[in-house]
Amino acid sequence: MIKFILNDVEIKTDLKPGMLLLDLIRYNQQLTGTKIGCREGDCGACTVLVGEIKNGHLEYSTATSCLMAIGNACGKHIVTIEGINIDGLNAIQEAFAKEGATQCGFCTPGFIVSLAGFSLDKSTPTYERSIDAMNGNICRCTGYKSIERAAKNFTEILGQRSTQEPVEFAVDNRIIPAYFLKIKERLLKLNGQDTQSATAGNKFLGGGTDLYVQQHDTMPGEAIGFLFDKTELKGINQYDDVCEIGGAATVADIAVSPVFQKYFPALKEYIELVSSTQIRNMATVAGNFTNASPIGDLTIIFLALDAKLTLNDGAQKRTISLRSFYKGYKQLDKKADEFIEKISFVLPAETDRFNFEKVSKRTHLDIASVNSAIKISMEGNVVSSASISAGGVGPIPAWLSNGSAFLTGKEITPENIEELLKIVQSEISPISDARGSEAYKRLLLSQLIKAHFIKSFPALPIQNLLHG
Amino acid sequence: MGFFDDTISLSAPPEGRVEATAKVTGSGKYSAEYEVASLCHAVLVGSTIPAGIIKSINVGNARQVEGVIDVITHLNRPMVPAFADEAKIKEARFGLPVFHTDKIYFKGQPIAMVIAETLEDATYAASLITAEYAADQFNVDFEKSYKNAELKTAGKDRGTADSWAETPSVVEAEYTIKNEVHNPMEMHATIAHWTAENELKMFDKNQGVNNVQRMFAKLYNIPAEKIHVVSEFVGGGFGSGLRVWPHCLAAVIGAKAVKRPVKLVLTRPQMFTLVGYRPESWQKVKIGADNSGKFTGILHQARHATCVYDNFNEGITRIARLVYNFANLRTESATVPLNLSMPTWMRGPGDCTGDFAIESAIDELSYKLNIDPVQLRLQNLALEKDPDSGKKWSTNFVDECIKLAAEKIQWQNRKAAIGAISDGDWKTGYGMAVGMWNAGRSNASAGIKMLKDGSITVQTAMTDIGTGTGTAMQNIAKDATGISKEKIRIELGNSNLPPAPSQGGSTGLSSISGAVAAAVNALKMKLAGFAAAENDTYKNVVGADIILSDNGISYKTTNQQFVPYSVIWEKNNLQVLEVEASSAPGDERKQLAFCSSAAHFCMVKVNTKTGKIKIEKMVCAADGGTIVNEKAAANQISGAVVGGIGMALMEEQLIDPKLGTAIGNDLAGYHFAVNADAPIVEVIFVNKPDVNSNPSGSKGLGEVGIIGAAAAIANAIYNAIGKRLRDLPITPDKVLMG
Repeated sequence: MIKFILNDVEIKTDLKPGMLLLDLIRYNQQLTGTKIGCREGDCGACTVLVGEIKNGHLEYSTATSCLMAIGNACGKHIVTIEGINIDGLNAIQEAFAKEGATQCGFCTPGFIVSLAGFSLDKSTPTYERSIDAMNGNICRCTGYKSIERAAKNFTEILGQRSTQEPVEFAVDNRIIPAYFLKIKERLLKLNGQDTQSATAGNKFLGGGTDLYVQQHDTMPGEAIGFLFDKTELKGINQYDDVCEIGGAATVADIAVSPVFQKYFPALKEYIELVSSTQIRNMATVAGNFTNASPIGDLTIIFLALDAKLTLNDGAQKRTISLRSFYKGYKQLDKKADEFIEKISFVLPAETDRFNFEKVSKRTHLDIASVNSAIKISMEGNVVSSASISAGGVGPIPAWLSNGSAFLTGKEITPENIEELLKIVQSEISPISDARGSEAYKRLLLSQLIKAHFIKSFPALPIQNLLHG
Repeated sequence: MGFFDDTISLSAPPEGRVEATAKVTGSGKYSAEYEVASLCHAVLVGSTIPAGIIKSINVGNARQVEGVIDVITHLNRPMVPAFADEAKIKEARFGLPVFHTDKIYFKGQPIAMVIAETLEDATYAASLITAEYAADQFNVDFEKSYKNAELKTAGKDRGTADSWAETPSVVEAEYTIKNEVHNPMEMHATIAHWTAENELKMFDKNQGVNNVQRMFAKLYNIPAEKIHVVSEFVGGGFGSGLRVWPHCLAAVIGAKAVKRPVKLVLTRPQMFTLVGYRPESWQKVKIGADNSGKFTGILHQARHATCVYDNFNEGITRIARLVYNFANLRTESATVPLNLSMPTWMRGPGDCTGDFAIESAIDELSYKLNIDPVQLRLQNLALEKDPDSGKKWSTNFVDECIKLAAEKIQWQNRKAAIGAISDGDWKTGYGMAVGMWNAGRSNASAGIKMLKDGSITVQTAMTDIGTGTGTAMQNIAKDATGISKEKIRIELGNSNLPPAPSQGGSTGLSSISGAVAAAVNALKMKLAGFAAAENDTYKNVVGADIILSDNGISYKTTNQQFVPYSVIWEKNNLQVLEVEASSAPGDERKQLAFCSSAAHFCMVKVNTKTGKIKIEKMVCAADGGTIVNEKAAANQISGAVVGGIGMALMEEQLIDPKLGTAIGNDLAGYHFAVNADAPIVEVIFVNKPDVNSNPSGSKGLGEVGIIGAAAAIANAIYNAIGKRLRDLPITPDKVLMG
């Protein structure tokens, strides 16, 4: 039996755990304020809040219910637009109404739920964060300007929050209804019970953001091994110079991880290019590896970092390098009963340089045409080790072993970079497709590699590498 | 209950749109969200080849799925009377006669429909259906085919074709634009319900309930009044809801077959092949000027794709004939039939496409002449009369649009020299273009129901696809009556209400404002008739002398000769006072020409290293006559401008030429602007009434916000990096390799 709280109501259901939350909300519960725009997590019209107890605190994040299995909702508080309606309009809704930020209205509930998630986040509520909170919501009517104004006006209300708990403040200020005040208690009680139906299967599911897109028709009926909420797979920790990421850690976990923020100062820029807030809240790093896309952003980042994977089949564990994980297009060195338990890598030293670049047809919310990451260790003026990865240039996410080897022992000069580019061109095999022609992808990778050096070595006289 | 009634109690209605509460709380019902007793679910199965004949369809496995009620194909469908024989099919002018022949015209064409108790059952069963075909040769390759389509004169020539070709400055270039797809956020959906043998009720996503009603009356040969179409909340359209599409008829056929109400909701991928698109196009523009910058002549040629089972003509060259004075002009066009579904009008149809080519060419000419692009346009505008019809413009303020927008973006900061403003790899450029649209108006009706407490309900069949029709009606009714906004309810999007045209082509507000004004006048006269029994003043009055308030009727000034509604209602034992009136454009439309216009200015940054384009700012100054609701109008323009960014930089529906398949037919593959892509957008209005246009003085604004935006962006990119990109969308690869 699956148990969770939907708005103010406790749901107990024997429906299949692979069923999508969106379908339960609209068809089973007839809550039609949650809209269907794409069923692939691209539009955000079906955004819901997901509240759960983390370290004794009730925390809310947003998710696209079209990609969320109800098995991943167990023991949580799921909130739809109906669940944040109060008597009259809530403060977000008032801001939208006032600015005319709803036109055809179909995307509107999703935007408003995303802003509700923002209002319940304990971070300082800034206008910029309010916009980030809606970055997974798309609108075809407004051009977003009226929505931005509404968010700005609403953020001013949140600015008065000071030290008050976000949920309490939001209730006091007519942002959410009062039943939210009892949710923590109710969830704690619920979590004391068995909320998950006993399911097991070799179809492992993390956040579902890729599996439910790729296997939309069959997933709901599968026997699923749910990984997302396993406590032992959570967390990002540092042990000396090694970072360990749990198999269920999400992209959002990386974004807020103090370890990552310390060792990757440009982290925010990288993460902004990876999907949207809602998807980052759901998508796991391990999932990005196992979906085996040749252009997975995180895969490319972790290839450059030479990450190691610990695979677990329930009885035995083994550790392999991410670089040897890919055997061919969508072919993995992974048995059906293995899942990624842990990802580990050596954190960059202070003198190391790391950079990630991505170009896609649309800058945001898009799959890369080509992406690339680099990690370079220096001893004086000489490269002591280099690791370059690239996506979109072959059937698997590529670690550019020849290029990486060439650079080792070299100084960073325009000549060496030109030579590196030649070597790299000989170890990639891009094809022409909807994301660009072969020639373009080859050119683009060269440009991105140049960009790596220009960003990583601002003091070196290599800036004029870039003509046109 | 009224359509935009709140299901949530409010002490005072919010500011802004009349239906805002329903939309922000998620309580507004869109077509697929109605609960109808014994509803069943339909799923379409598409053809797997782009051309040929269906030899057989295997539906056995699908029928055995539990919950499946029926499977409809061309072999067992109940006959649609208008499709009774091949000759009649053409006459019906429906486009695709779904399920009525064995012919396949495009890939994804519906060949079968599963109807089941649940959507899951129907979806699963649909996946089990297979067909055998006799495949024909097919062609979906516009690029390889357009040259074969013979160009024909489109419109009357002016002057001579060759006299200007050798003038000092001539620009000649070709322009191409890929298929673009409307993709409103709401998928098209229909609930079809035969409530009696020849009575049909539909909840349907469309832009004109009367259009749907008329089409089904024709298809089934039943009186229009037996067909009830409801489209209260419409989640966007952009033109995709202006036709009655095959899925809509499929639902109606299905409901007839299973004798139960049927719901059919398209999937997002089906939105790419079943509800139209802006067709791929090729254009050539040759334009000349003398040394002073005076345009000497233009040749505008255009070809665009269409389907093989019907014809669709965009009118791409229309705009060449409209904006500027050309003593010599020739426009030619052709359509290119392909094995694709039928294209249709998409926001700024024809003009949006044509404008990109012409405004790009004029920009190129400005560099050749070394004349500022703003100046070059100002000195060539046709401001007095429509050069094509020769009629005087009622109003044309496109010059003011240009000046207002130039000032707002601080055009003086632009450098004529290419790439003169740079910051590392990022080059900044400025560009501009103008857009124009014929500000049309159609016949429309509106009704008013008044209660004793002075509250009124204003009604029309017209839909509100998100543009704010309901809110504009409320504003107009408030101004025309004097009754406060809180007492004015709106009902619309329902064919049982007074008939109105479809909402499209920027004609909605112009048409409905006349109707609302007429209905208000009728209400005043009817009230005056009753008031005359109390006060002789009202015996011979005209509507213009009557002032209404929340409580009663007055003569000429508020509270003069005041007769309270309560007296009228009590003495006449009234419950509801009802009036209906219609309004049509008059002789003014025969004597004068009408246009809305806009000037688009863009400031862009282009990265020469990666090819990334970042639009910093868009300014749009528009002439839409009187602005009835400034906030709604500005939001409408902002949305169109950002739509123009999509057109310029992202939107393209690719087709695999070998397989005839749409590529990337979802919102991951088809890109339009997300919030992060939307720059600062400044909107300015000329806001001068066009008194001949309609009683509100407004002119439609739905299209001009996008017409010209793409050219302004492309021109700004040229100013930044010196690359003249003539193939939309301008993706990073074209910047880098172009």
